[in-house]
Amino acid sequence: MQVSSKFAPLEDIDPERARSLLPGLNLQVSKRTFGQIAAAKFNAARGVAAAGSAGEPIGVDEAYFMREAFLSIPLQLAIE
Amino acid sequence: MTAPPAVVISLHGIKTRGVWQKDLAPELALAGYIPYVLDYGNLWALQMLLRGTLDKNVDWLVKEYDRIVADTRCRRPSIIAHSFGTLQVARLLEKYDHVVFDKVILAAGIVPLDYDWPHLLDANRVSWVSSNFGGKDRWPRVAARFVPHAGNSGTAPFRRLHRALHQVAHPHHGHSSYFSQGNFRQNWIPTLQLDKRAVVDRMHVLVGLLAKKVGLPRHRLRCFVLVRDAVSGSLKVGSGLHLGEASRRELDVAIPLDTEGLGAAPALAFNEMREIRQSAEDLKLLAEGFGGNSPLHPDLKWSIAMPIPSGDSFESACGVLVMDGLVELKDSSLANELIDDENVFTGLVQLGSIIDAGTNLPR
Repeated sequence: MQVSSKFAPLEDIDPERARSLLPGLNLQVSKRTFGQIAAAKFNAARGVAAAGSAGEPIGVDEAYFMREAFLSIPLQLAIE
Repeated sequence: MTAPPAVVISLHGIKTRGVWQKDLAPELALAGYIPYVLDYGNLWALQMLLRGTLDKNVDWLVKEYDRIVADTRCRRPSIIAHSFGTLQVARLLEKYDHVVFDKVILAAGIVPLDYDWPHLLDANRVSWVSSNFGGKDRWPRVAARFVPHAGNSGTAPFRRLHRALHQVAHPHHGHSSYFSQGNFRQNWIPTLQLDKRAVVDRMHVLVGLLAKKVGLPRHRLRCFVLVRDAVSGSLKVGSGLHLGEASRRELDVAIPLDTEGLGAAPALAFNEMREIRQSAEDLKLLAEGFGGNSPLHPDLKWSIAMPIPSGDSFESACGVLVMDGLVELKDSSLANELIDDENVFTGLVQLGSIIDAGTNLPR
């Protein structure tokens, strides 16, 4: 599988957790959490440049607004 | 104006007045449903052999259905049926176009195996069908031979498949083995509570999106929604929440949230709120870890686990979406996080809302 800069070895995230895994295991772990990706989308929608590639999580009110916005988007069924 | 109540109708089989319905009714009520226990009397086996019996009972059933819908304002009740009751439900849907159901749960059914559930599901006449059939149940086979219009759906799966038709084999079940409080609480009521149709519809879209993105045939991709098991707290594939070929054993694998090492990917995705990917080499190691008895699909080549966000903060998960493939990926189209894709992000947010709604109902 292709690995890009968006994916990090586990040691970059949590060295203790990485040490507890069996040697040879090479899980690809995204550098950004779901919340950070959500923050980047929210800032992009507002026209605000995100701070670096891993922005701070957004506040509860902003998250609520985003969630309501995304809940109303109809996903196209039966894409071929 | 208050929302109409959620109604669940139950319908028994022959040679009984449905003792199980009386056991089920308080369980439904405790879960917040209005139970309607329908009783068409103690029908004897010989009466079933008469050609007019089915339609006579269905004509009674449609009147009951109309009465319940009018009385409760519930436009889309669910129904749980056993044995001859299942044939009545099937015939009711064929005969009366205005009849719609949310969930249809069938146990030990005698519906013909070529019954056209996909047509009803695509027409939104029914949202979700759960058909339970048993390995030790001989009565559906007998019914299929002698009862007009009957089949043996209580011993074998329906042939016409649909993503919202969930068929569960119970190898040791006899004709009346479905009526335990445990089955009501662990299986039937959670099926009623969660909008599984909405979940599998979104999974269907996401598989299509991924197939288009990576240029692979849809039938070689799979998708699973894992949720926390109510009893053990481990992550498990939600009942019926999978697309693509998977063995029962693979679907039954439980992943404790504190798992470390092989098989930790879904738990990591859940705990860390990050996308976790496994290559063919990772999956080979994982399969070898089971010591020659791996539950994983032998053709599994890659796997991506993504957290399904819960609540309003996007900082915690209520489940994990796993998408994997039975053929190698061809190009680098997945270089970036799949979660960053607008449609995938939208799908995950919507899945989280659906799962939260189904698991936060008062009991």
